[in-house]
Amino acid sequence: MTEKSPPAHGPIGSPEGVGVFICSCGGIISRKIDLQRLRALAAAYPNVRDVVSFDQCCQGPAMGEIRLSLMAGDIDRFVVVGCSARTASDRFEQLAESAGICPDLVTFSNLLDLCAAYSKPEAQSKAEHMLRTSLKRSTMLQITPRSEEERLMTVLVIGNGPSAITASRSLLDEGLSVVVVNPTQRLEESDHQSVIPLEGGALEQMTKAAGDRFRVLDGTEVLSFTGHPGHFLVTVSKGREKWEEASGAIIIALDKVGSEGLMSSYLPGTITQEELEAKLKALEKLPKNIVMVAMDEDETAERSPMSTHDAVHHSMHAKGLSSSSSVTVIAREFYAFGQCEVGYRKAQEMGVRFIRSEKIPAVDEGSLIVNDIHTGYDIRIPADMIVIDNRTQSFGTKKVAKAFSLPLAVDGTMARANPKSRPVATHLPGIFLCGSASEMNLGAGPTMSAKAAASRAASLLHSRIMSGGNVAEVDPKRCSSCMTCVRTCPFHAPRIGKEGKAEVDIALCQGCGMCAASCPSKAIQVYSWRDDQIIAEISSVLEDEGQ
Amino acid sequence: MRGVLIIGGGTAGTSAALSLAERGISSTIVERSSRIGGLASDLACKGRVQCVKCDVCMSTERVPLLFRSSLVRVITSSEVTTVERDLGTYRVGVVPTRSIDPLSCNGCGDCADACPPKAIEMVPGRKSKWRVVTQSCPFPVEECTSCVDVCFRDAVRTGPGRSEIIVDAVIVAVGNETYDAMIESRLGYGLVNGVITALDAECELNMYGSLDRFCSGRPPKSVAFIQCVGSRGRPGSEQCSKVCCKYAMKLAQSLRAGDAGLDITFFMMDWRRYAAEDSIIDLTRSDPKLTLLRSRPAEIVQDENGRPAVRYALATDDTVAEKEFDLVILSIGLIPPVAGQDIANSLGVRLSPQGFFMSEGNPGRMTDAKGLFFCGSCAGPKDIEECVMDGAIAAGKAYTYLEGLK
Repeated sequence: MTEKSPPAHGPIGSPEGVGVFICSCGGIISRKIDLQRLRALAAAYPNVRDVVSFDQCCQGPAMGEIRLSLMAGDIDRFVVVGCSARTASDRFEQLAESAGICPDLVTFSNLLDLCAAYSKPEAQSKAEHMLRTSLKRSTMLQITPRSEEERLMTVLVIGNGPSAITASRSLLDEGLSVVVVNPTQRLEESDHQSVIPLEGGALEQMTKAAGDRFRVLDGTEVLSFTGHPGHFLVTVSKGREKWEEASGAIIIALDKVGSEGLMSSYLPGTITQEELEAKLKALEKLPKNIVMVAMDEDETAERSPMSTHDAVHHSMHAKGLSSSSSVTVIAREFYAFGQCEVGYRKAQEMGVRFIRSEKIPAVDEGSLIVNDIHTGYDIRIPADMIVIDNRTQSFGTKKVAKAFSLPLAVDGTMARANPKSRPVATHLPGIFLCGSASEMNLGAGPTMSAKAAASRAASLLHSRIMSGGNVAEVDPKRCSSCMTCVRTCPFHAPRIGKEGKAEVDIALCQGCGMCAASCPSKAIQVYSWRDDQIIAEISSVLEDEGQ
Repeated sequence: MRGVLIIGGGTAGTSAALSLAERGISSTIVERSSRIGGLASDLACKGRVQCVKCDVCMSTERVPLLFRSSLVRVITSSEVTTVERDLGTYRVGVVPTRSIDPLSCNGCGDCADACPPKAIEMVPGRKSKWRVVTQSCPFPVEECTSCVDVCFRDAVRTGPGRSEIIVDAVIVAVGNETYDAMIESRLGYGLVNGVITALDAECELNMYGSLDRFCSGRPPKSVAFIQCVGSRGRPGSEQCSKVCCKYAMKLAQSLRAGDAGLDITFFMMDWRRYAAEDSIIDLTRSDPKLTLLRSRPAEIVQDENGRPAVRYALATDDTVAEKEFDLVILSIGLIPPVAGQDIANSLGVRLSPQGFFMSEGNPGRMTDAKGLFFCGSCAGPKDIEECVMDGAIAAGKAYTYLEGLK
């Protein structure tokens, strides 16, 4: 479409002609609604040039006929009566484009859902109302602005550990370049919290194989960002130095780090699960009584299932390594998701003791006092070695949340977007979320969410990024620069431009209409949902009621 | 480019197809049943007052997107029978299956009586009361049409004839089966009135919005959830199904939203929550009518009032307790796909000891190199969100593989 879109505030031009295509959807619609009457109604409507009905509009032969009729007559817009836009919009918009008609000027009159909801006589009158409103709407439509955005084949990953490495590896496999912004001094490689651990040296191998496609910026932080999916500019700082990194998509992959809380409350000599793993790998001699405490000090806070997961696996290995040792695991709940349950059972069969306790065990002369929740008794367990899991603290989430204006969950992790939207996504298009410091799917684990985030970022950059459509536009004559829209928009689309008036970036606008609703000067309109369009639609229904 | 074959049109298969379409790669979905959407399409939205993040909409709202895309071809009521790999391409034989249209079927059972190999069975509580078991039906559609002929409502549907598809890569997303609670007769499913599975409850809530029908038309006053039925148990269902804690809690929240005075009791071993907000222990703090009992019930019997009574032992004393409920919901687990072994044989891959496909580790890497990918709950129990993620991951891998072929 080469036509330039008219401003959203200007007058609406009169339509050349409207085509109406009525579908009986294989009898589903015609069973309840008399399509002959709809045909007559549409034909009598002003500006309607062509009315055709089909058995199945969306099938090949009917599509061909529609195309011919669009190209033959003086038609510049059409109404599809039958299907829902939900399932058929892409098909008919493509058809319109191939027939030289702007895809913005296609209207759907969803009789299919109406037939599902109403019985016969009611459905007929509702369908007639609906057809009149759709025809009115069709004549009021305008061409909207549309453009294709450029795509940078680079992804910026913000992370400090295994999730960032996993995501980077998947992205490199898909042929993209990766820049890792790492707030710590070194990317932490070992991934004892994931179900499938990374092999040691994976980072080194990856860096060697990728060459200049993979850069890690250690000790850097993200300050702010601008841009849109396909082309983000992220301000990164290292000490006092500041510069901009360009990328096509952003993945936030922060992992949790150790906290000192539980460690300090126990005797010196307490080790972490990570240290135990190293001992197990080196086949070191283990002491007689090993106790693992797989719980967080804060009862109400995050109870990491991965920590008990590790404890289950390590207890099995420890028991296998020195069968004379007594191994006890204390946790609130024992997590062994999926096929790991088999390992949990095996550990029990090998003689590992599992004790459920609500309270953190107390230390008493080289042993731990545990309160068993089933019996209510306190049990004394001798402990030569106490193993804890200390990786419980969210890291760097506050700064990142501030830089991207993303919400934080109560426990300080990055909050998930609306569950109805797709997984690993934030509400900002082009910015994805994974890592153990995000409020994520615990069953899936950090590895899977990192891979999924990488896959989604890659599929964004491997497809065309179209912007525009039903977006908001500001009338500079009316705008009083009050900043209401700038503060209201969750997508950061409006900003104050050079002339001191608000401007909406169409690449960021999602067409939600919140700015249009909240603008005190009524200076913002959304394409295809302008006030006069909505009022015209409503009044066409009311006219019907009057008759 | 010849595209990708996706076996199974459930949540993971749908997600993989959409993800491939985003990248401009065409795919063909072959689905065994007559409708797309898999197990998730039977489930009910459990947010009565506000969203409880049960994720059901995540699957059901994505299915219409399939029909929008011109790059996705969907073949329903068909099964993949043969897969041959030849010079990097896959030659796939697809045959139609019979299926029973749930909208037309009235459950008369004539087809089951007429079927020579007795391959039609009744599935209690599901949308369609009858189901054709395609594995035990040996006849191609051309040879035997007795079920089609006998049905006066034309509810038995058959697909088109045998066809062959040539593709570059195969994504297997055949999903899982749910545990058949009738195997454990001590739990009284099918024997005691008022004992239902969570899937029955989901289907009922999806269609009618209440569970009154299971309690002789009256709203239940007390409900028990029995966790880990068909999970963490006998051989064949040793694995933890992961999802049962999550969906049982969401079901309980949905029932609570409908009736503030309802007594809800959970019989459980461990509480394995999926997300931070799924903690039942936090929920009991604010809900005095919610009880947690850490016990695995021994049996469920019918008491003199015709209500189900649960017999269980508690760790605190040695006595056996018995408690009556209006409704007992068995949280059934996910078990490996029944057709898994046949598919594994035709693809030449091995299954894990539990019967799931292996998509991770060394076996995963080997199949990835051949352009063969496994995703969704056929590679281990997964919830809806995880299946959506896994489908996207498999699509990414398939994309990388196809780019390598060029």
